[in-house]
Formats: sequence, C-alpha cells, structure tokens
Amino acid sequence: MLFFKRQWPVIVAFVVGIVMWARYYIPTDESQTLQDEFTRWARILVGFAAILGILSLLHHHVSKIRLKKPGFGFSYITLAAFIVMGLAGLLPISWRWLGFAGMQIHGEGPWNWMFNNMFVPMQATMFSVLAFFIASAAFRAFRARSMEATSLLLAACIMMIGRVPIGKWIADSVTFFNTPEAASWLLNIPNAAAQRGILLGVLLSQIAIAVRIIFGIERTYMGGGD
Amino acid sequence: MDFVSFVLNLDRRVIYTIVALCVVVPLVKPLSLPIDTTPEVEGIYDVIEQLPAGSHVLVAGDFDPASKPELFPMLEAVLAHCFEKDIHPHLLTLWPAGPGLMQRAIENQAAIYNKQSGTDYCFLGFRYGSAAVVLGMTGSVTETFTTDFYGTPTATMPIYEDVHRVADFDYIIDLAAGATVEIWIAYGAEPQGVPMGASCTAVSAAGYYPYLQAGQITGLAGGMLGTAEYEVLLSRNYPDIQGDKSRPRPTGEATKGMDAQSAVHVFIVLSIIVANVCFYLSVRREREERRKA
Amino acid sequence: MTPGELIGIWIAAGLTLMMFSFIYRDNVFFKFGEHLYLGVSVGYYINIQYWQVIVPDLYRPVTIDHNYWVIIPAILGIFILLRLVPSLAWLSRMSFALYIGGFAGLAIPNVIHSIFLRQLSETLRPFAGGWGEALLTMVLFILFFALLAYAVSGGGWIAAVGTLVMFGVICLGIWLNWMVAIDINQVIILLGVFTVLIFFFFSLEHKRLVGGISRVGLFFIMVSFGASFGYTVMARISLLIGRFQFLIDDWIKRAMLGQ
Repeated sequence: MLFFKRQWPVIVAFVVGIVMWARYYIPTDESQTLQDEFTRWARILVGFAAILGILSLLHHHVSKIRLKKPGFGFSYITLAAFIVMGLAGLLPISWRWLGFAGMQIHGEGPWNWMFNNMFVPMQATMFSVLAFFIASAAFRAFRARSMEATSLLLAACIMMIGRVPIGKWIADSVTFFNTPEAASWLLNIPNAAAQRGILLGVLLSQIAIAVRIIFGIERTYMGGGD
Repeated sequence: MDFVSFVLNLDRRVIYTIVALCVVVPLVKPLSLPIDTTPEVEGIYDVIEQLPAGSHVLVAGDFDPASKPELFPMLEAVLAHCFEKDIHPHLLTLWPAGPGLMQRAIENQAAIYNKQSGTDYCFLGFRYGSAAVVLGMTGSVTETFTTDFYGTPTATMPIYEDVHRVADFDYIIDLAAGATVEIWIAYGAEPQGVPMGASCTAVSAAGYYPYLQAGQITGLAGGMLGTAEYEVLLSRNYPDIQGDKSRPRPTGEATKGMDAQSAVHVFIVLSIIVANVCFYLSVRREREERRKA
Repeated sequence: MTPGELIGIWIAAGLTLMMFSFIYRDNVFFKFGEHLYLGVSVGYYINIQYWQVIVPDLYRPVTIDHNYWVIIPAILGIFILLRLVPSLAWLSRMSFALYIGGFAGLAIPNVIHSIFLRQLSETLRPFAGGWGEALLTMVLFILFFALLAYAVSGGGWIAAVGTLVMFGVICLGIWLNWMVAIDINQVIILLGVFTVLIFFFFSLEHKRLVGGISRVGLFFIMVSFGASFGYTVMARISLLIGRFQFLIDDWIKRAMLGQ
C-alpha cells in the first residue's frame, strides 16, 4: 500500500512527463492524437479540481453555522445566494412569469440577470476600491530615500503622465517636456531589457522545476501526509 | 501646525475624496483631451484592418468582471471591427468568470450587425485547463470544444468547414487579465506560426514588452488607454460605428474614461512630489534641531 | 427600459455602494455584500462546471458519442475530490502526478523553443552580422560598461582611467569602421538583459566587478518597476472609473433621471 502512496505517483509523473517531452520531437499523427487525448484528460481533471475548491468553501460555511462561530449569520446569506444562483442556472424551468425570456445559462434568464447585476458589480467594485488605497499609499509611503528609489519614482511619474492624454497636451504646450516619447522609450528599451532578463531567469527556473518534477526530486505537488 | 506637518499627517480620507472628485468631475464635464495612437496599438488594428473578408480571427477573452472597464470595451471594439470587415470571430475564454461577459459582448454586436452564430461567428465558451485547451486546439478546435457555449455541436457548423485547428486561423488576439498571453504564445501562436496580438490590463502590460520587441506579438494594447486608442482608430476609419445597441455612441467607454484617468494621474504625481518635498524639508528640520540640541 | 433592467440597475448600484463603504471602515453592509458575492460566485462556478465541463466533456461523449474512455479521467477527477476525506486523500496523488508530470513534459520543449530561444536570439540580433566585427563590438562594449560599473562602485583611479581608455577605443572603432553598425537602443537592451541576469545570479558574491555590474542591473530593474508601478496605478484607477461610469451613466442618468 505504501508503494501506491509514495512511489507509484512518482513513477506516473516520470513516465507521463518523459512521454509528453519526447512527443514534441516525434511529429506524427499518432503523437498528435496522444497529446490530444492527454489534454482532454487534463481538462476534465482540472474541472474536478475546481469542484474541490467549491466544496471546501461550502464545507467551511456549513461548519461555521453548525458550530455557531462569530458571524455565522452571514454564512446563511452565502448559502442562500449559492442555492438561488446554482438552481437558476441548472433548473430547466421557464421564468417567463417573472419576466425573463431565457432559461438556465442561455439567453436573458435569472442566471444571467444575477451575473450582470450582482456578480459583475460586486467583483468590479471590490477591485476598484484598491484605487483609493494605491493613491493613499503613493502619497504616504513613496519616498525617494536612495538613488534606486529615485529612479523608480522618476520612471513611475514619467509613465503616469506620459501614458495619459494630458501628457500629450503638456508635450504640445511645453515642447522640451515630451513625456509620451519618454514613456514610450522607457517601456520599449530599459523596461523591455529588464523584463526580458527577469523572463529568461524565470523560464530557466521553470524548466529546472519541470525537470525536477519529472525526475521525482520535486514532490511538493503531491501534498503532505504519508 | 505648519504646511509640512499638515501634508505629512494628512488624513487618508481627504486623499480618497480628492481621488473621487478627480474621477467624477471629468466624467460629468468631459475635458475631451485628444488621444494619440501609438505603434503598439496600431500593430493590432492594422493587422485586422488588412485581413480580407472571410478571414477567421480567434478572440480569447481571458478576463473577468474585475478587469471589465479595461478589456470589455476592447472586446466590443474588436468584435465590431471584425463584423465591419465581414471577418469571422471565434470567441472563447480560458477564465471561468469570462463566459458571462463574452456572451453579453457577442450578443450585443451580433444583434447590431445581424450576424448568425455558427455561420458568421462562434462563441465556443469556456473549458478548464488553459494550456490544455490551447494544446487541444492545435490538434482540433471542434474536438476541444465539441459544443459551443449554447450547446450546439461545433463539428457541423458551417464556420468550421475551413478552420480545423489553431494553424488555420489568420490572427489570434488575447484579451488577458492574467498570464494567458504567454500560454497562447508558447503553445499556440509561435509553434503554429499564427500572428498574434495582445490586449491586457495595465498591471501586466509592462511585462509583455519583451514579446512585442521580439515580434512575437504584432501589437500590445495596455489598459484602458490601449482600448481608448483602438476605439479612436475605429472611429477614425468607421465613423458610423455603433457601440451597445441600447446606448449608441461613436466612441466607447474607454475613451470617455481617459479624461478622468488624466486628472487622477496628475493628482497622484503632484501629491508624490509635494509629499517628497515636505519629507525632505522635515528631515532637514530634524537635522538642524538635533545640531542645535 | 424594462422593469427587470431597472430593478437590476438599482440592485447593482446598491451593492456597489455597499462594497465602497469599506473605504470608510469595515461594516455590516460590506460584510453582507462580501458574503452575498461569495455565494453568487460559487453558484456561478457550479453552473460553469456543469455546462462547460460535465455536459460537453463527460455526458455527451458517453451518451452520444459512446466514447467510454472519458470515464478514466472522471475517476481520476473523483480521486481529487477525495482529498477532503483524510483516509483516502492519498488517491489524489495519482491524479496530480499525471497532470503535473504530463504538463512538466509538455512545457519544457514548448517554453524553450517558443519563448526562451526566441527571446535570446532577439537580444543578440544586432550582433548577428560579420562575426568578427560582432565579436569585437560586443567585447568592447561589455568591457566598457564593466569598467564603468567597477569605477562607479568604488574601483579607484585605475578603473576610471580604464573606462576612459575603453570609451576612446570605442569612439576610434566607430570612426575607423571596425564595428558593426549598431542601434544604441539594441545595445542598451543587451546591456540591460546581461546586467539583470548578473543581478539575479547569487552564486557569485556581488562585490567589486560583479557588484558593479549588478548595480547597473538594479538600475534597469528599478526603471522597469517604476514603469510597472505607473501602469498599476493606471489599472486600479481604470477600475474605479468603470464603477463611477456605471453609477453616473446607468444609475443616475438612466435609472433615476430616465435619460
């Protein structure tokens, strides 16, 4: 049993990894079919992994209600919203009596209505709140204490003015202060150089980690326990 | 309390209020600042503009509602551009929260241009796996997406008579909120030799310049500015182009937002400069007080 | 505007203002919105799961195409769900091994060919002319910038003199046509890539020459991070503009004022 818990997954990772790696250098129809079948299996696997996240979340809220932890009343809202949204997309019934033309996830049904009027505004607003925090953080914490910080600050200011229409307006009025050109040069030359250096480094480590996974040196993806 | 101390101890809610005003005022009273187009965005526009009627463009809308203001108008603009030129867009998304937004965009534009699903365009929907999806499409699009988003089998659709795999597309454009541009380049565009463009959120735009510089993407539209530039290019060449059917407008949401963007950026840059000047004055003052003491 | 649209806009506006209330401080309205968002998003993802994964990739192949091979990945997928059962969690390792191992194998050649080699060749492109001139140009420039970096990081008068001599040699080389016709921007890109890679190379101590080179790399990184910060500010402000556009155009103008 210990073999299936420890060694077998490593052997599977090695065999599948080597086969998929070698497949790249064998440009035949059979090799393409092998890749197609593997990617089909992978898509189904990832789909189930997503269900794992959903089940974990529901389990958390159900146990919060059961154990009456602080704030458990809000968990009722979560579960109620989940049930309503889930059933709206799954139930094959008509909602014309409520004024909806569509059904399930197709057309203008209640699922789409809830997506457009609840999901979208709430998610969009949650992320837009960061705008206030970033402005406050820039004002309170962004200090040019060293040469490096000063160069970062200068580059940021040139970007922020040069990449908006007012930068062009300033450039037209005060010709030596051409921030759009400066911003464009910054992005295309020093920024591209640094990002490429970082990219090459990241790619090398990605390749190294992939090789380590295939050869069983890296096993953290399997999780803990025995 | 003098000015330096006042600035350094300013309540954060004052900053929040000024930011809110800098956004609201230009939206209510637009400044109509001119938007200049850049070679980065023209790189996407010109490629689509030069495609003949009947071409097939793969539009990957890999974003969620959190990136809607930056990428949704770009999606609508690209779809309108395709339909203006009788190009067939094939839409899909690698993000689970993407289908709802893609559905809205394609249904809006298809209604305006009277286009039919399965013949003029196809909305393939979403599949999990990102790289697995792209790799699967290099073998067969209809095997990877056996049905479109609405449940219609793809194998028998007229639009897939000439297109079977990624290599058969004339152009790929990825509207990306995350790192899907690298996935499309590594597994799709580069190995299959299909030209590709990217429109991304401003957060990730700086990181894609190596690809632009290397010619692996023909163009890069970063953030709301990139979208606004695309809308400007569209409205220059297609002055009658319409947006959402219920709210017709010659230019889109992104263009209207650029005035507010300018105002907030000027405020932030000025506040950084003022804060740094006050910081140095306070440091100098402390040094003098320590010397006197 | 239909009643459904009108009610939808009011609900969306209310939820937007509830989420914005967090700016002042955490409160019961924000908590309500947060938990509602959680429930709605999970309900959304369950539907996407069913309609975009289970129906087209499992139900249709088995019932319509009679492709029973898909039952194997379905079983492997159920093994992943067994992670929630501590005594059976080990079964999920097989599924992860298959997926992670397979994609590790797929990633290596694709990433090397499509990105790594392409980016490397693009960096060295200006020096792909006559190999003699290219080599000379590259060596002269690397020596010049290395000496400059050494001088900047406190290398003394020898480094300063060496830098000036190298600068003179380069000018002479350009005048006498020893070197390939170069685009200064491409040279800066090569310098940037090289120095940034040295900055992240920690097997050598960052002292003297290596320290000088990595300081130049740090400068490039700071410029890049500054550009990223500027773009990040733009991104966040764009999201805020999007919400205010909705509140002004849809809620106030269309829903309230009927414009």
